[in-house]
Amino acid sequence: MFVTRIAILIVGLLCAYAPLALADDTSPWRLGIAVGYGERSNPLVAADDISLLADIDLAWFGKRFYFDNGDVGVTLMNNDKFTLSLAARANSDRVFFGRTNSRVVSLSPDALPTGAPTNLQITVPDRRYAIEAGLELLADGRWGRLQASMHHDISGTHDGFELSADYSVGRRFGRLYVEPSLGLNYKSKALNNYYWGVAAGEANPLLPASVVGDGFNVRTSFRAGYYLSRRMALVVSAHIERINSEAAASVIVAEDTVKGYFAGLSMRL
Amino acid sequence: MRYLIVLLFTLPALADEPKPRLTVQPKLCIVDKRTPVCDVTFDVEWTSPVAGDYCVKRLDDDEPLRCWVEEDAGQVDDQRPVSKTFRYDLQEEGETRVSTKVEILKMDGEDRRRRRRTRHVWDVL
Repeated sequence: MFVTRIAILIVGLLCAYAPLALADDTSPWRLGIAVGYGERSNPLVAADDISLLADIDLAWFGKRFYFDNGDVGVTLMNNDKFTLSLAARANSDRVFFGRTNSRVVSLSPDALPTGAPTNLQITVPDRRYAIEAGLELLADGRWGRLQASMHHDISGTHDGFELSADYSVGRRFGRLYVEPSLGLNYKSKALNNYYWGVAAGEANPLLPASVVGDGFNVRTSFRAGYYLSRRMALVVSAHIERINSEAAASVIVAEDTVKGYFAGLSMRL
Repeated sequence: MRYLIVLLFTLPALADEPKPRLTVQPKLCIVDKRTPVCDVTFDVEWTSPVAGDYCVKRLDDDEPLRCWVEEDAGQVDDQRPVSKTFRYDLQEEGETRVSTKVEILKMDGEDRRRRRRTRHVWDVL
């Protein structure tokens, strides 16, 4: 299975490309689908990686309002230099908690109080989606593209906030278009602690209570597409994100990086 | 009856009348803000089952790129910067016999919100 996945990735890389968006501003709608294979690792203990066979892209852009794959926004300013919007979204950290399971661990009786059970279950505590709203700034030019945002929880889930900035630049090579990017996220203590900490009520001998502070996530990604036509491209995408040290040190986190890839065929309808 | 037989033999021949072919390379060109125009040489080739007077013309041009007299094939290079989808026509006596479109794919549209990265799990498109 591993060899198959690597082969798919290599074929995707060889065939290559993808940025991303068969751009066409004539319709307010953007509807597309990518079929192929991809995976995203799950940094949580006792959790499964996330597999992907198809990715649907559904968006609508009006003059003021937009909907983009679950994000909604209202544009406040738009000019040649930048676009500023008020945007709302669901927090992305929650996605990992939808793939958790339980794992039974046997402990030596010597390590436990007398009479305590020696077989314990590691169960990652559940977390809710937070609805976050804030400002989003988009700017582009010959120098590339910048996306900066600040979002605060408006759902009373974690009461924290997140700042993020992404820079990307595209290059074309005939029908091949590549787009590497770099990103930085600041996650406040309240946000980080809600998702990655363990509350006193959730603690057990295997998952002691822990408080997680704020921190920066750093990520880089690479997307490439080889365009067969305006509406169809062979695409490959790879992504790696280093989780902030506070969250990575949490007892419910097994890996300090999140890695993902996807290779397939993208079609714009 | 004689005319009917002639017609029966003639109709399939008319229906299968081979048409001229017009091919262009490249047929797709990508532009973005760094390279807002596609400045390449388009290789335009045509063939026809019947020799005749043909011209290759770009749709927006007043004059043809090149014309041939009593030929059944031809080739012409066309180098010019383009930023919009356009087409080449193969014309015979001013009438278009076949067309081929060259598509321009804009990676950076007017609306930069279409290029925003979502917090989507994959965001591959």
